Amino acid sequence: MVRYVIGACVASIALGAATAPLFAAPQDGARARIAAYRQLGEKFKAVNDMLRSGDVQLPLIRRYAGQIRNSAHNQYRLFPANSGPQPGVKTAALKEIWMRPNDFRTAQDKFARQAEIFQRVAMAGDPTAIRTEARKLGGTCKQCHDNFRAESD
Amino acid sequence: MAAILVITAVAVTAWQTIPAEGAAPPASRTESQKVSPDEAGGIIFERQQIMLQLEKDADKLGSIVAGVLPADQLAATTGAIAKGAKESIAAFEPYAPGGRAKDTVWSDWADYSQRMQSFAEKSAEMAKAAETGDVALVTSMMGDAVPCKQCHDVYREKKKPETKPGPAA
Repeated sequence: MVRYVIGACVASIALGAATAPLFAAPQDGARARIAAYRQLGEKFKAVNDMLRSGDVQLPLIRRYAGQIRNSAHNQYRLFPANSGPQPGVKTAALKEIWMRPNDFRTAQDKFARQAEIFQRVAMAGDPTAIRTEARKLGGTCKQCHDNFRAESD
Repeated sequence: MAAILVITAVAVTAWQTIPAEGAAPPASRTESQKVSPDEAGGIIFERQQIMLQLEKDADKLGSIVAGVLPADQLAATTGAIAKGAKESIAAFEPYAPGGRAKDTVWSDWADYSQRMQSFAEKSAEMAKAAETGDVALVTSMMGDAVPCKQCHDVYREKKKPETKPGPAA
């Protein structure tokens, strides 16, 4: 009897863990997304600050480029179905993300491709090429924001 | 004879510098600074991020001088504004029309860049003053050191209603 009770408890915990994302509060999804994009923004800002100032520290640029690339590949998990704009959810993500999923995916893919290129160029080490590809990377950010993110001001 | 040659040379030079009738006046900073379309989006994005950060820092400074936030953040916040002001000069140098920046930023570059230079200098002075911790002194300097509205009134488009375009390109 005790074994059955313990087994039922373990099964319940396992089932809960497996299905937790389905029942996650919408605000949790939005919070995770905001945190992830803030980190991404900080890395990209650090890259641009170095490029603007001329103090290009290649080891740092390469590290940030790798982190940006990883963020670009992780971004696909940041927009679960129940995390869009709704009462009680603070998010700059527009409902168009979920209304136009193919277009949004296209924008995400562009960002991911350019993040790959940027990382390759960072590893190659030519500051001029790094500057050019960083700008193009920013361009993919802008293109997505223009279509799928609320304006900040 | 020499006088005729000089007058002729002056006349020819003047003729060459007068724009043809109907032509636009020479741009102060346009064609020679053009960037590739691929890079233009990134340049616009970069300067938008600089300006957004400046807005946040200016708001924070306002809260500090109003007594809403502690004054121990005064030096860091004014320093951030000075840094942003300096960065924004270079951010607008490449000719990349778009965002909310009017084309006059580049066609009136002399005036625009002078305003930005003044912003950078005065905000740096304010940041220096903030090191003393004197909130009243910083407050008295804010009007000149954070002249956002004066420049925006001339060089920034008004915010359009939130309508997103069709399928992404």
